[in-house]
Amino acid sequence: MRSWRSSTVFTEPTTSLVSSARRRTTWLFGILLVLTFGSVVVGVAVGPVAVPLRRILASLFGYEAGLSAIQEVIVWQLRLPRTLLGLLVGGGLAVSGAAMQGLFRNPLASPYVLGVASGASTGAALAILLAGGMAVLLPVGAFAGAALAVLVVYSLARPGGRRTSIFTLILAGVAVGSFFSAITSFLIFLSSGGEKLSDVLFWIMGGLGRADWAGLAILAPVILICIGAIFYFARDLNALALGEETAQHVGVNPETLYKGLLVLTTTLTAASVALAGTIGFIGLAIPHIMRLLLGPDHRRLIPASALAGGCFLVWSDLVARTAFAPAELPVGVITAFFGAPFFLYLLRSKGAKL
Amino acid sequence: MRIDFRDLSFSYEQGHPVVNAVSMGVPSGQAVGLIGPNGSGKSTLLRLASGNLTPDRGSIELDGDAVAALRPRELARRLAMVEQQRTVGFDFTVREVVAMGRIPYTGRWMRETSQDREAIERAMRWAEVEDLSARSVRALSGGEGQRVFLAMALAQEPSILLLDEPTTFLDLRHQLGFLSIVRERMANGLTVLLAIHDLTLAAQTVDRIVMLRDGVIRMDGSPHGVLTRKNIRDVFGVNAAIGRHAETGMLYVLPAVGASS
Repeated sequence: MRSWRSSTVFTEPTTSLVSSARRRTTWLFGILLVLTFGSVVVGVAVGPVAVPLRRILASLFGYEAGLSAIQEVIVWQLRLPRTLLGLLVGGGLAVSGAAMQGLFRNPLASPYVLGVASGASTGAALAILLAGGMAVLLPVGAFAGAALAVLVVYSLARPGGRRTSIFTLILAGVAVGSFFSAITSFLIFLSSGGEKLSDVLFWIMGGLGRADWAGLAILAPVILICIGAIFYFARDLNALALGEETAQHVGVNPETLYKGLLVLTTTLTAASVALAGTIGFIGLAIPHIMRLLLGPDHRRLIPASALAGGCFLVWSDLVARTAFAPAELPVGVITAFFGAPFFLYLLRSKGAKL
Repeated sequence: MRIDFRDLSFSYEQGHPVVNAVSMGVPSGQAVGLIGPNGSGKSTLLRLASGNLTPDRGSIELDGDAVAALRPRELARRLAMVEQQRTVGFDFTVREVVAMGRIPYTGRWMRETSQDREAIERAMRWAEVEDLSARSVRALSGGEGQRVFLAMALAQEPSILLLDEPTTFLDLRHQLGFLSIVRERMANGLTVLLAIHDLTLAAQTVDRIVMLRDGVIRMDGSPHGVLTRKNIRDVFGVNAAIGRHAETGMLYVLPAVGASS
């Protein structure tokens, strides 16, 4: 079987090419890691109440920092959970987007393509309007709405358990998304204005203001496990880029890949929006930007997207809560307002290689 | 490694079999060409062999092991396929694509071993795509793309190679280059099954020709035995002149323009 292995000797290795790409990758990951750590520090340091950076660092690393009681609360109960939620949600949405784009082999796919965002919005709106007093119900409602929307999409897309067509899935996602958007609009209409209405709208536009340790304790494991599991499929996504059939020729089962990744990405997206709302742009653009910088290999793309998405959301949140302080902008406004021009710039300078 | 089709049937729509009770075998180191008009079942037969399609009836065996029972990875080590055409989702470089031929041999997190690197570079040299190494596969011409995917299949170090219209987009020199690679690999034990439209090229490359029509084997034998005026008229509905090259003795088929019957 291996008889022809020895027939020729290889002469000209392309190692220089490979190693320059590897150096570039190492650099970019180094920068991203430093940036991630820096984002946490800056996210905790900046805000209406000034806390000296030295003391914050000391406190974060567990030393006695001499923070006042109020500073202690601001750092540990407000800013740190908020920053960590930003890292998780930004990373979650970016990875979910990268996986969806890989799965659909389409650069226009986003984490919301299967109706997750619309379902979550309806669930969140219901929770706010019907049980506005109980903050716990909001993420639960949002997650349940997202899950319901995706389940409807799946059941529509595969009558009688036949093989799922990716196009049917997308179309079903669009239809179910519109349906849930209609319900949300109707709920908004029924609410007849007031504070609850602005709560709903603010949630839909996205924000990190609801971050707390209890929420993080539930969401962090879900988001991190999903990201890890999606990373596990990275090489399979590479093969899938060559087409379902070619993937199969090198031993990757597309059916398993679809099933596994659809469950993982939708769970990841639902968990990401549950507390933070349906923040736009990150899931679509961060994977693109990383692809432009690092190439399409999902083994690099997925971890890079996780870090970059997290950093980007933390910095966007920083702008959202300081630009018009004490008023807070929905962070979705910032992600798109600053992200889109940067994205367009990269597209231009890199020659639109989507 | 030999490949056998046993009583193979398949239909995309019920009641319209595309492959109908096909039984044939390719012994180790032999090349068999599948010829026949559009829709005769050539590509479907290859896709059944590669595991992309599951037969309605019958089985495919590699050295006696049923393809359906092999683990995907194990199948991918034994058998590779070059498809007719495909669209690539993202801007992978030529080398990255060829390297994907090593997926059946390496763990998810493993770096390329020196053995992988040798297989990749050897395959790229055979298929003459070394100079394209850093280019995006999506920026290549049809023929260059075909050679890249041949390189990927060769990097898989298969015992059986399936080729679906491998020479369609290739220029003359690369057509010959392609076929000489295939012949050289065969000399080293590679079994080849290819669907091909160019009957002259088929006659020069393969040991045996299987002529299909409507999913049924009509003829099976040596190029000289199968490529006759009568058979070509019966199966393709075309009048053709069959000749032999004066110097090399190679058989050639010249379809007569305006003479379809």
